[in-house]
Amino acid sequence: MVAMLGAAVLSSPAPAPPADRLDPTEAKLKASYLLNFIRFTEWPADAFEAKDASLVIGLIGDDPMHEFIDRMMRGRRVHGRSVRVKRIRVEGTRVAAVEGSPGFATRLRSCHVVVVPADLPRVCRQVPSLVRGAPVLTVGEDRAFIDCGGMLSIIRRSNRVAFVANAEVIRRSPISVSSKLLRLAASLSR
Amino acid sequence: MIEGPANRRANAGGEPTRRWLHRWRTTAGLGVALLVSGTAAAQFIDESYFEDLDEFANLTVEDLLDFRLDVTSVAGTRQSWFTTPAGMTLLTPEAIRRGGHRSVAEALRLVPGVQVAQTNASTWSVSSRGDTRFANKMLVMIDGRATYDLLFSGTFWDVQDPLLEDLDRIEVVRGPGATLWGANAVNGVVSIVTKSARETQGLLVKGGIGTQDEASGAIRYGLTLGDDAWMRVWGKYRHHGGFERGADDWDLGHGGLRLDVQPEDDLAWTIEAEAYETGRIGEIVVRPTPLGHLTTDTVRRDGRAAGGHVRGRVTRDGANGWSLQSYYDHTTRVIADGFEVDRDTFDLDFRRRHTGSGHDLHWGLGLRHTRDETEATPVLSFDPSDRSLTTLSAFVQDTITLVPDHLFAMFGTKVEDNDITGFEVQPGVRLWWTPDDRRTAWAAVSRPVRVPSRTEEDVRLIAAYVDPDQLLGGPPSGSLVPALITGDRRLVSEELMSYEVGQRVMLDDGMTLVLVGYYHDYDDLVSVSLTDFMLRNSATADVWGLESVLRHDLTDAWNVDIGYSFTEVNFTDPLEDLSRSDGGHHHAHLSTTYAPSPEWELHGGLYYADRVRSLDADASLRLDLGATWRPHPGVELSIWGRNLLDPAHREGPNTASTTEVERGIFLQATIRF
Repeated sequence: MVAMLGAAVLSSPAPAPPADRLDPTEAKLKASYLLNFIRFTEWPADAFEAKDASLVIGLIGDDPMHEFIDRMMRGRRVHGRSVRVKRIRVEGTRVAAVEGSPGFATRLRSCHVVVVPADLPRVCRQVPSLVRGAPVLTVGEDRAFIDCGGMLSIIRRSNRVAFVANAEVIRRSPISVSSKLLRLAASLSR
Repeated sequence: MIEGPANRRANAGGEPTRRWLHRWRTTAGLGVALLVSGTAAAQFIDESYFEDLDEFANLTVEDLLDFRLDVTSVAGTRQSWFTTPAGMTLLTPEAIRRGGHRSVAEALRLVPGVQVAQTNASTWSVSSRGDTRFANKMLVMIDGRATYDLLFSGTFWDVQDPLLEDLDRIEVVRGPGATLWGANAVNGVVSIVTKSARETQGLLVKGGIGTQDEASGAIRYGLTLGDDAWMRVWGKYRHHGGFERGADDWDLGHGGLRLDVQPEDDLAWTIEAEAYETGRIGEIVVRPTPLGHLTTDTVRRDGRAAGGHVRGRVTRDGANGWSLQSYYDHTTRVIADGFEVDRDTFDLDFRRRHTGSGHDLHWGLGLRHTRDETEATPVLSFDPSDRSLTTLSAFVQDTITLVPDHLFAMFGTKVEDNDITGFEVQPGVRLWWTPDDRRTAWAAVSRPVRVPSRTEEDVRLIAAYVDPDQLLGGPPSGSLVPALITGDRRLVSEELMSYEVGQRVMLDDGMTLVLVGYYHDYDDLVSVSLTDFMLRNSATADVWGLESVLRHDLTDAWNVDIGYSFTEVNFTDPLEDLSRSDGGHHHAHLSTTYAPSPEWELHGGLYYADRVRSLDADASLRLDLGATWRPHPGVELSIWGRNLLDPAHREGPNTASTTEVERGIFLQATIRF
């Protein structure tokens, strides 16, 4: 029997990877992680234009996940501030064009949090360097985001959703993230 | 907090496909997709997805990390721990690491209501809802492979020692789990689940040394074989010196590999194998000697064990998924002064799930065939020496939503036909209620059984040499006869009626309280008569107890777990005119971690086990302290002091073969590349 199973595995043709899918429960977990990240992060006072200015979350690209984030943040107050969600559209058909656009970096830096979807790998590589030194929390959706200088990344691990952190990048930035959150982050190399 | 969404998911009905959102993009057509994805996504978003957004928004990071979609032991389906309607504890590799435990048996000390006694350097007795006499009613599985030894009715923990870093989780169900898992899951089920090879990529090297000549080393390498295939190979060696008498030193070398093929949206395949061999398992054997009435001598002997297994599994996930698993396991063990048993086991298990219209139905079929060959010693033999046993089983279990999101009922039964007692039916019913997002309460009634072991059926053991006259209270006659304990094929299964109520409450942010009360009524317990040395189903017992767990995050960097359990065992054997109660005993543990920075962690663990008079086991208090330092990403150094309060203490019953667990220090380094 076991030999049969083995033979079946070895002989089965590798199927084409199907379209990426989003489970609504997973989307809600990820949105809740994002909210928790904000709760555990402190921004310097000068990161806000006014005492009562909103905390701005920038969502890059277009992703079904964004609808969940948008609705979860709606009407919510964190650190005594209202939360505003801003869509940062990736204009044009060529992603490369985005990176060169000077307006892109400015728009990123006007946010307190930017969320980078996993399916924009080139943007993913650019964002951390574009906001370096600014009080912006960068949140990604895969391990690679951490490798290219992102701060936090929400990742799916088989049937769970966990997150990883780049403590070094966070330490060098003007924002501070609670040590509790960093402690709860999954270790990078499993 | 989690139960709203979890229950909704578990009872989603027959619309799982619609509930998946498709991301409408391809790499090639990114631009076009970006333009239309807003509308495309909107069409597939169902307003019902957002109903429980606030519940999710209120989850803490710990809740999110705990949101395990795959707790399978009780319901056989994915449930979050918080809503699991049973006295269940989930041990993560992280909790085991923070507790400084280096084996699965030791880690089970972190589970309230589970009693772990290390009776010598290589032997652990693990039981729940009772004392160590009930260890034979606990089922232990690693990835669905039973480690329960049919000859001895227990688990040899010395050879069940997976690499802790490769564990996904350990699910411990206290109380009956027979409906899903079958006979012998009477007092508890320990289900150890290892990670997919996909999750153990890269190189891990681990080494440690400690007092009592303790040394261990492990290496694991995980690699990607293609888009959807992953593999890991690993090896591990462990040596432990003897405790104070120096005779119970042992070592174990083992290694294995695992291959996982997991294409998205398709069948997932796993092939896994392991082989192990011990150099020596030192044992202290008390032998009867024909030199006088009830005389014995104590000798030091070499035991050993070797074996391995191959396992294959195919799974289709989802609300109407299924799994097929098969394994072959071989084991050889030399124990008790030269007695040898070789065992081969083949197992086939199929499980299927159907969901829809308020039902979540699981059913399954199983076949297990096992064959053993024994080599007798003058003291211990089996009649027949070799025996094959086959068990056919089936189970069905249905979870019914009585009031959506709030009230659920689960009915199930396992039926099996085995070669020892024939036909067995093990039904169970469970009702649970989630009044709001901070509470889950449940009640359950089950009737599991323990099938007599091969030993209880077929053993021939010389327990002592006796002078019959002296045994009857007269003067010595000078003639000695062996007192032979003889197994009996007329034995029936031990039976339990179990009643349980429990609840989980979220008291405050970061504080969770679990309270469980139970009453177990045992009948037909197997007992050895002290007059004719026959085995009979003559004893009964009733056991009641309480289990509680409190998890609390005191500050961002400091958390505390407290577990407490109370057990009272009343044991009656009318045949022996025996009725005793041990007056109840308490078990407690407190574990805490303080992590001032990501680089540093301090740990402490305090474990208390009450005196059990009927077993002549003393109370013990054990303190473990540890520190972890991560000087560099991927490098972890830790130091642990074990049993710091006294030079040595005895954890098991007071017998000649029990040695005392000594104070020890252990240093360990783990490096990941």
